Amino acid sequence: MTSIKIDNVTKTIKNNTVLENINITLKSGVIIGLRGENGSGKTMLMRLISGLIKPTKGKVYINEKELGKDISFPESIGLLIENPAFLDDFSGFKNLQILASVKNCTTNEKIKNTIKAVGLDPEDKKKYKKYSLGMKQRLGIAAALMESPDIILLDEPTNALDSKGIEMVKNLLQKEKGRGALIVISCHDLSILQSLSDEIYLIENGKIVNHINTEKGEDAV
Amino acid sequence: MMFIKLIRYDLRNGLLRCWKKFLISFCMFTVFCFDLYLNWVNCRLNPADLSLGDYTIFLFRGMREYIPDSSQPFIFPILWMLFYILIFYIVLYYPFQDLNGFGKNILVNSRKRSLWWLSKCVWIIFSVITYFALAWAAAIIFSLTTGTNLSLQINKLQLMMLGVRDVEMVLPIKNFVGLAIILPPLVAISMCLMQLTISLFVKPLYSFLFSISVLLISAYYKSELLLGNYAMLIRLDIWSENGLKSINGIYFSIILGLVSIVIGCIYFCRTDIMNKE
Repeated sequence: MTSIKIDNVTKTIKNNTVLENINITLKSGVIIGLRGENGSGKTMLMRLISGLIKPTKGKVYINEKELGKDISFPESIGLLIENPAFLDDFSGFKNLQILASVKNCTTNEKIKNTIKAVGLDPEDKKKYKKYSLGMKQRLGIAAALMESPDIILLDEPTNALDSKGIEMVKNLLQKEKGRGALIVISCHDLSILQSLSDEIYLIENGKIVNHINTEKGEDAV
Repeated sequence: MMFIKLIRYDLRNGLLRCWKKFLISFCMFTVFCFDLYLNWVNCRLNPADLSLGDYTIFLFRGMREYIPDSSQPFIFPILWMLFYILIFYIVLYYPFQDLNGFGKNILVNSRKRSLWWLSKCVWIIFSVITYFALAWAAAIIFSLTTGTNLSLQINKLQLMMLGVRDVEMVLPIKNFVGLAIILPPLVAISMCLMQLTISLFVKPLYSFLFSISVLLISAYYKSELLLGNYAMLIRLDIWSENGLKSINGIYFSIILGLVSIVIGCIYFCRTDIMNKE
């Protein structure tokens, strides 16, 4: 059972408050949507959960361990934050193999299967720099999912994807949810978020202004 | 184990990104050697009298102490500065480009910020050693192709041209060889680590400019407190009693390098990881 607790977190960067008094508790087996305009704080919230940035005030707990104190980063996390970034001169498979070699907790077979699942060819020798935007995005999603992490953070995962691609993302995330992963995705398109998420947090100017439970059809502040 | 994996990743990825710059460096070193060769030809001297030692001292000599005088303008030791500026530039961007891209995932997967930072420091040390190895390789290849000998004995004429006044006073050759191999790369490693740490606080470009400033000021002022002085072999105590103590240069470099690693590590463990230009 994975849990994320964001306890009264405020983040200020150069006198600019990018997140203000955020309180969220998340449990595994759900898909959480973050919706907001550009610059509203969605990506910052994801960076915070991933351990890349530290709160100015408040605390973030992953499985009751304080981020930045007990652990530097969540122990099992897959992330796609901002644009996918890989090594230009290697194929998609080689890139994922290099990434996986750090933790060594997945197999080549699993990597190949994940690449197939996102609609790419694992045997394709094409270098990453020759990939189209959509292919890059798919590889970024594969990188986040290949190790079957407990927490999955996807920032705008449907960017550059066509309707088939969006459908593929939906199916994959449902599968990940089914095995008990805690998934957080951000998107500024409400219709996509509604079809993907169990709960949606609306963010404006760094504050959570609304919380919608899409399964129950509730609106709550 | 994780640390070894990170180092392997950095060595492979870093060298892959920088190999063209290393290739350019190698060509530049060959041009420097050719410059010395031409100097001798122009002075109607026999270039066959040159040795590997002469090429080495030519690359790392720097300049004699500058004493401000209205009749003698300050002339930058361009070749010496270019040599160091290039290695500062080669190692400048990779750690931050990596952190803004693929390395971000590697960092999160490694789960320890300190290991990521130390791996980048090891990469810098390895890159500087590679750079100096290429300089030696260029000098050896040039010596072989021009028929000069591979000894490290320095020609007395070369010493006089460099301004060593009492050639007979020069210490045994082994002192020179030891220092020429150790001190210039040690100073370069130390300055590159300092540059990396400063890049955490300001944009990498500013830290690069700071490193160049240290070289420039070192060329202008002979001082034990300016590290660049120890990278100029001609200012060391192997040539004159008034020279800077080489051993101090070794201590200074090691201390500055270690302090840079520690300060950088502490800061990196506490800082936000945001995209840096």
